[in-house]
Amino acid sequence: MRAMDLAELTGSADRIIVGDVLAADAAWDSTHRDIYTTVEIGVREVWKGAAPANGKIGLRHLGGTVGEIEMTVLGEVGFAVGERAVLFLRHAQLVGMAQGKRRVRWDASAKRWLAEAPDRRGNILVPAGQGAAGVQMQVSDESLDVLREKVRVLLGK
Amino acid sequence: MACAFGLSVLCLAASPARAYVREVSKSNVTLTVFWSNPCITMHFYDGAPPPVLTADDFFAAATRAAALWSFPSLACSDIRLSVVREPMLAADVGYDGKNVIVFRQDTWCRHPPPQDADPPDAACYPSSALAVTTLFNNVNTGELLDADTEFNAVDYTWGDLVAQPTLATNTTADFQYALTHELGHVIGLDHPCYTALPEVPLLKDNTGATELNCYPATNLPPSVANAIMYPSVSLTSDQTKQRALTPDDSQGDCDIYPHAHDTCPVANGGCSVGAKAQARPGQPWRSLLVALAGILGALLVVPRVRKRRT
Repeated sequence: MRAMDLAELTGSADRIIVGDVLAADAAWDSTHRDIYTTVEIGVREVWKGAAPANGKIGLRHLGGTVGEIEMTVLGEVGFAVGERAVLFLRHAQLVGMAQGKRRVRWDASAKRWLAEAPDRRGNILVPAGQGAAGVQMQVSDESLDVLREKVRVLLGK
Repeated sequence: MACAFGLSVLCLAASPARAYVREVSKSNVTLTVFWSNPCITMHFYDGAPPPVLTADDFFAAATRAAALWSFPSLACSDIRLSVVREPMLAADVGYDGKNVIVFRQDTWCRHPPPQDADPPDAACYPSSALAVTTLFNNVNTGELLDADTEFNAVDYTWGDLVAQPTLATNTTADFQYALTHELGHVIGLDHPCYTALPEVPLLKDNTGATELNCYPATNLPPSVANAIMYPSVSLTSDQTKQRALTPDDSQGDCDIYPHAHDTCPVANGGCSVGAKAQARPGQPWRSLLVALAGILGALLVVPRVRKRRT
């Protein structure tokens, strides 16, 4: 996976949201060859694109566990019910696979929301420490407010 | 490292730890994944290969990549990764017991996308992914059941950057290097370091140490940064430097699959299924055995040398 910087993630996404994972269910496809996980997201903020009418969006990604069989697509990311994340989406898929998800957690000591650095665990062939355009990759947590502002600037708002 | 007899134990203790990280179940990070039968066949579909290499070139590179992880090239390993050539243009991937290596040239999607995929491109990968490996494993035992590797020939060119180093660009990658890395995942190795705060707890390497942050690479020991399983390589730098396994890569292979068979048994021939498989989830004792064997070897060899000198 080629590493993508924030500008590329933002530009490639047709929707950027902050949301909570309400449900995640895995099932075999009709051919019983692949497992897909269907995820329901409760949208809290919309940074780019249209807000969903009912306040929810659905994602579907490859991988998951059904019975005793686990399918792992290296580079994909999972969703846990109850977690909150910034999601960079295109056609209801994460942009750049796992890179398009930034988990959000509450920093009790600083009393602020933090957006975790993108997970590139499953990636291969990431240009070392920089994106295709030579932009430094985000490798640490940052304030959700800071990330929101960066995206706003990138979108020219 | 040159070690005088008598200092063997100290030298062994001072040797750099051979560190690697194993793939784990995503739903149970304490469960490492492994093949119960180390004789693994990869079906390579090169009927109409993408430019710039010929089908023969690609097959030769795939065979070399597989051999790096396999006995007898890697004498301490029981793995036999064999590459079988398939003349068809493309192949389905998925849970079918057939391990596949395939180029995607028309669309960067699992081919053909499942008809019930909704939205339609849920089965497609982002253009930023050069190659994708999919693993199926049993979540109770960790046993690997199927592995497929798909190469993105829609957005990238796959070449031999040793033979044609001038091809290196932002969109050209060395096929043998990339496949060697992917085959490391196929046999159950993870990257030796993490690339950001991951979703799962930080993993431990085989020495029990918490894995290191991959970035910046300048902070890493060379054994990690130079490993074939290191997750990062610049497309415009010399990828071919990383074609070979490092000692850490080899150690991972050999610890998971210690050599036990000189020939690969035929199907159902019991190629290490059973007792050895039970040892695969974790073998902290093996490093100790290797160290003891090294000491024993020194005890056996050194007196003979002395005898010759006298």
